[in-house]
Order: sequence, then C-alpha cells, then structure tokens
Amino acid sequence: MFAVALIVFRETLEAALIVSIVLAASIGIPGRGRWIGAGVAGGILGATMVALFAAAIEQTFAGSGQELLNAAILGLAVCMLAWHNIWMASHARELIQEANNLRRLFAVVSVLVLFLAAGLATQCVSFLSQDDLLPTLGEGLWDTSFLLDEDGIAGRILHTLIGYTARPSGIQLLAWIVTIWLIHRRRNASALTVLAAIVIGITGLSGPAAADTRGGSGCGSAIPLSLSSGSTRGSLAAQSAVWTSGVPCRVKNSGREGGVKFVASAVLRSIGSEMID
Amino acid sequence: MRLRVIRNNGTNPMRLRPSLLLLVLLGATQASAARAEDPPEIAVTFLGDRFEPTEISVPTAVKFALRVENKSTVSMEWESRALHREKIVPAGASAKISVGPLAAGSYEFFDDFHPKIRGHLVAH
Repeated sequence: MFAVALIVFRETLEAALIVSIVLAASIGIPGRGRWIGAGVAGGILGATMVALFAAAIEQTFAGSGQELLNAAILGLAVCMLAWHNIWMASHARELIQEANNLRRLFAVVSVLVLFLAAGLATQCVSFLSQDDLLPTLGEGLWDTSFLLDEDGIAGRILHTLIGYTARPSGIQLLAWIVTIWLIHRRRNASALTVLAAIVIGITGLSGPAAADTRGGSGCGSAIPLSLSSGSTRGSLAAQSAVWTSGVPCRVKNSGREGGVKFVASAVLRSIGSEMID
Repeated sequence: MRLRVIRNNGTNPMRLRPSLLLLVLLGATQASAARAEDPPEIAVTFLGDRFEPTEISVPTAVKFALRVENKSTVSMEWESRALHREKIVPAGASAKISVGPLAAGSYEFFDDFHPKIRGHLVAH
C-alpha cells in the first residue's frame, strides 16, 4: 500500500511540475482552464486505454511495443516543445506588446521548456537503446548519485525539469546536447523547418520506430494517435496528447488559445501503474 | 534578391538537406549494425518476492540481452536507474531488454511496483 502511494506521489510530483510550467506558459490566454481540463480528461482516457491493453499491444511489435510507443510519444513531445519554444521566440513580441511585465515570464518559461524538451529527449533515446535500436555510447559517463540521488525529491524534480540523470549514458548526453543545440539554432528559422528537421532526425536515428513519430500535426490529432498506437503506461501517451493538442492549437490560433494540458500525465501514470498491477 | 533574403534568415532548405540525409543514413546503418550481431541472452526470473538470481554475473564490454521472466502472479516492472532501463512484464510473461556494453561494476535493479525487491547485475 505504501509502495503504491509512493508511486502515485512520485508521478504526481512530476506531472505537477509540468502542469506548473504549462500554466505559466499559458498565462493570460482565455479559456486555458477549459483546455487544461480537456487535456486531463483526454489523458485519463488515454492512460486507461494503455493500461487496459498494455499486455496485448506489447506483443504487437515482437515484444518491443513498450519501447516503441514510449519513444514515439516522447519524440513527439520533444518536437512539440521544440516547436513551442521556437514559435514563442518569434511571436513573443506580438503577444506582449502591451504587457511589459510578461516579458520576463516568457523568457523564463522559454528556458524551462527548452530543458524540459532536452530531458524528454534523453528518455526517448534510452527507450530506443533499450530495444537495441540505438547504441548506448557508454554507460555511466559519470556518477553524481553521491551528490544528488535521482530517487530523492530534489533529484526527481531536477530529473523532470532538466533531465537530470545521476549516471548518464553517452547517448543520453548526446540527445540532451543535440536537442538544445537544434532548438537554439533554429529559433530564428521557421517552425515547420525545425519540426521537419527534428522529426526526420529522430526518424533516422530510430530506424523502425520512425513511422510512429510522424503525424499529429493538426490540432489535437495526437490524441487518437496515442490511443490507437497505445501500449504501455498511460503517462507518456497523456503527455504527448496534451502537448500535441495544445501546442499546434496555439500556433494555429496565434497563441490566443489553448495552453497545453498536462495534469493528465500524473493521474495517468498512477492509474496506468495501478491498473496493470 | 529573394534568394539572398532566404539565405540571410538561415532557412535555405538546401543547407538543411545534407545534414538531414546524413542523420537518416547514420540511423539506418546503426540500426542494421545493431541487428546484425546476435547478442548473448542472460536470464533472470521474478518470483513475486525476489529475483532469481539476485546477483547476476554479466560480461563487460559487450552488448547483451537480459531476459526477464515473470513467474509470479502479478505484473512487475523491471527497472534500473543505473542503466536507464524500465520494462513492464505482465504475470507469466517474459521480456527482453538490451543492456551494455558495461564497464566493470555493480548495477542495481528493482521491481518498480515493489521497489523493495532488488537485485544487481555484476559486470566483471
């Protein structure tokens, strides 16, 4: 019982952090409560589906269903965050014309989103190397667990916010750096170009996992994608659904609408874990 | 004129293409190289209250596959923070997890649904 409570707490903490970022990022946007609420509902649904069909879907890719789904959803989330970040960089000026004190907020959120994307990218490549689709490029480049335990609360928070890993592998470090570099480099380029570059990059690197990372370019279209390709824990599906439906909506509607909706993933991860149990 | 504007903005598609192609090729060769060799399989069994064996001897410097067999009546998630691996294994099922190449040392793993049940991969 305590173990289950701990899992729920841990996953909730993670999601709460992300929701906080989303709430900050969507400040001043009308109807954001409704959007975030919808994201939660969609996430719960997605998690439930994933939990219910976990075993069945795992077998559909010759035992690689979990890795491929997780990697695809994480990859999608990274793309959406990257898109958001780049888009914000080029449109923030219009959005905050009259609200001068929002400028700092946007700057902070932008950095948070950048690191969040990099952190998710490290998780994405881990799943691909777990399925032997990517090399690890060396396990345990360094070990900082004596300084900051990844299982402790502070370690957990940093893990979510910036992708902190006490004993990172080479491929994780590479993914982290490349993600930040790509986003940073492309912030002045068009969002579509960047998105294409990242998708193709991930596609190329992940080989067979490729097909799953495509799609979901329209408003909310990732929700059915996550559901239909679902296999393992609900959390990631929820995260992706939330980001994917949120960010493109923002872009499409010039940022007047839709924050990203995230509370979902917390609830989801917990529900996902419990239902499987 | 138009071309110059595009170039100044750094969005010239011609500049982007070679790097994309490179990424795709890199990915393809790596994926196929990874598939070509068949890494050795090492087994561990989950019995509901413990892993068997609790301490698993594994080789250093080569990639191998860990075969996790769940012989209990509940789902478990094989997880290792040190190795960045996590995989749910339903009751009665088995799953394969690619690991390594590892440097000599001890790598802890546990069942994420029952985190007190732990074991170690010992690479030497």
